Amino acid sequence: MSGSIAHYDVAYIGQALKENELSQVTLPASSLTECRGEIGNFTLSYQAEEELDQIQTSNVVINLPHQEELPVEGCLSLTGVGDEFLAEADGDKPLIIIQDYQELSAAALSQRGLKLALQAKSEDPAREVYYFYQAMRFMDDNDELYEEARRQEVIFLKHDLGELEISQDGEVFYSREDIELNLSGKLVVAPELKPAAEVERLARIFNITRGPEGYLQVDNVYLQPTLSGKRGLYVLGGARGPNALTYQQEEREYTLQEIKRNLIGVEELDEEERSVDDQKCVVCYTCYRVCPHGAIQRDEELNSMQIMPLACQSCNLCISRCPMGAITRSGEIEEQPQSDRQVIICENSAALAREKADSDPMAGLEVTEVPCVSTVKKEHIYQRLAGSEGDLLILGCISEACKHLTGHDRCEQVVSSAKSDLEKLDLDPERVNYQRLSPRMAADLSAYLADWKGEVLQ
Amino acid sequence: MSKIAVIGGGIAGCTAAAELAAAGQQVLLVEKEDSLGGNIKNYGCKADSLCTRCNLCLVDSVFNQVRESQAIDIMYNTTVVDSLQEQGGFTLISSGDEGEKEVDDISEVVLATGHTRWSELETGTPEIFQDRRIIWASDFEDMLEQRQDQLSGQSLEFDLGFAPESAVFLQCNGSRSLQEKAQYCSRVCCGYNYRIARVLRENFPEMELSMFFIDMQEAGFLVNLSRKDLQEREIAYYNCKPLRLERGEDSLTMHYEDQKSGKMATIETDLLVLSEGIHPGPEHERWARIFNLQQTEDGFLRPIWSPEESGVYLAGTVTSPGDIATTIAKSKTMAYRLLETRKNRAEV
Repeated sequence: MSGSIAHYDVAYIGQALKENELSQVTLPASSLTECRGEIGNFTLSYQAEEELDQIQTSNVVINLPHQEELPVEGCLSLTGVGDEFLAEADGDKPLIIIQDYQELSAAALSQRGLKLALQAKSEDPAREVYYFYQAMRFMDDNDELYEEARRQEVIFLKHDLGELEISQDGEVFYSREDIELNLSGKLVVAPELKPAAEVERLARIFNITRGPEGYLQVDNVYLQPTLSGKRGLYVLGGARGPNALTYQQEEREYTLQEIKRNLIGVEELDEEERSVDDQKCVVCYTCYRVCPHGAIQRDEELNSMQIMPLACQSCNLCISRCPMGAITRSGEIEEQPQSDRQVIICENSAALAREKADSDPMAGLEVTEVPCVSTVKKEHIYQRLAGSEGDLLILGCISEACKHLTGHDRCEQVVSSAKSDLEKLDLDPERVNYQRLSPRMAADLSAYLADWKGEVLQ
Repeated sequence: MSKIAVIGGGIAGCTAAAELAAAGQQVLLVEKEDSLGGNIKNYGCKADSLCTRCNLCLVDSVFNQVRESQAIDIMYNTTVVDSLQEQGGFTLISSGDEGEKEVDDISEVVLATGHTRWSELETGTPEIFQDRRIIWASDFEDMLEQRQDQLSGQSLEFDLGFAPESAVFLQCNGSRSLQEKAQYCSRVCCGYNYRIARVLRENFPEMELSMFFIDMQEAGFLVNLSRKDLQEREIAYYNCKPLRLERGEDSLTMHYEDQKSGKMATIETDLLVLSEGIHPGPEHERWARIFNLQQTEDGFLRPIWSPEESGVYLAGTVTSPGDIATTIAKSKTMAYRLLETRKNRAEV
């Protein structure tokens, strides 16, 4: 029983943050096997020595280092050199630091490079330090480090303004109109940063979506860049994104603050209740797969899927997708509008754009506002078309404004499937339309509706 | 019940106010203008065919939350001119429509009065303010906002009085320069002007576009600005700051040093768009005085004592330059710290 399992405020997957007010546990990413539960009460299973073990935690932070790829084989990485490096042999040879080789490097790498250059100069002011770069990128006190390095006579050379070549044995050639350099010395190169090693497996375990480059942060729809699509699950560093390091200090601070905030108490995001009828549920995992917020799990005792109320972000996507119609929500009203011009709009985009427009572009239309257009089922579409002679327009979000990550795509699939059904039945598929909007596109909304009204009236 | 005063109704202040109100606190929001929004109010959506993730469209929800909240009182057209700190609280002297007033029973202060835009400082060379071919990035924002967030491919003649066939973006204007009294990098302008360049490229595919950079910066949380990216969009890249501007009848001529060849070169353009550095807000000296804060060398505010001790929490760009997402995140952090301190105090 769960009574014997230790409960922590926060579980770190990877590296723990320095913080001493929260009770914490650290698990290596490779040991993790399962995550159940929701914010406030996650249960993590992991491989400990020979057997599986479990802990409970209120929050989870995935904090893993980026994977690094060196653009030059066999050289030293800027992230891999420690304090002892400068004291080693060859201290009389020039120190050569290269960043932005191929891709521009992140600001955090500029910071490391500048610090290394300054340290070399402070240990031996006579040592030659060359710094090849394309763009010096700023965070924290990089400005000051950069100024200081210039004062200390570190030689800065922009390599996009000349030809830079690195030979296999680590010699560096640089030529520009007025400069010709042939250097051999200690060569340190900024690596390219890639997503952390285990992110794909972790995405499966936590049932969250990955972004285009493979990071666990999809799009910043929450105005909170370290919060994943799942409440109570935070992603940092190589789990978060390519330039996570630039803001790492801020990101750590507000992640910890938000965790402390969560510990005061977390409430459900809306008052409605969603439940799965365990008699109808066939455990097909459709809802589990479509939920953008990792809010669904299997109830082992009932052998039925269950929705976790705190994790649920009320998009109703599972309801519209359940093939058995097993999921219902309180307050669900099956209304039958009879207008010949019906519009279903998402409260996150079209509804906001409507408020912004000078005059209500939807005056005279039968408007239904939904938390996410993915809520629309094919049956809804047919009911509405059957109930009147008119047309139906569904207005969803552009992908970047979609609060439910995949909701807009799901709705588009439903609409196109409904259209092809209508076609098969020899009915007019043009009676139902789908359009994407951002909350600021008031002008587009008005223009589009004007067009559509015109067409319908014809 | 005592209240938390939030000074400044921009995105930093509103984020803090919304978080505090959501946690059950009573908030007094003091805004010097007649509406919420601050600097962000006049910004426009900078999507081309794709969203460029400036996060602007997402901030409306924050402002709406503040307007609708029962727990937030808003005083418009009001500034705070003085503060008396007594045991365990503040009495603020506000100046507004009804003259000076004492507002007492304030438990904590969140200071979120933001920054000054370089264009508002009205310094620099006078021709900037006379020549219609030289505009600020913020003028461009106003233009987008007035056209309801899009140019729709329609000529710029409507807004500018002429239709430019080329545009040059000048970075590090108002930053990284002793003359401009800002040695620091403002960090946001690269991403900002890059997005405007993308909007122009999308709407006017024929237009010649160029950007002058000293060092190209990252463009925020989810956009990675790179030279390859500029190349793909056919935006020319100059790795320097131009040395001289010549205003001819037909066009503007920028003189710059082509560092590759070591020779002087020129580029002609119809339109020059100046980036805007983020500068310390105009009231910073007053805040430093009345709330016992320090000013950094650059003029931004820095706490002397931790906010937990002083009761004064700094949110948003009062402490350093930042983009929308960073500002929101930092502001939330401050709100949570405040809530935690209250909770700890209540437990004691």
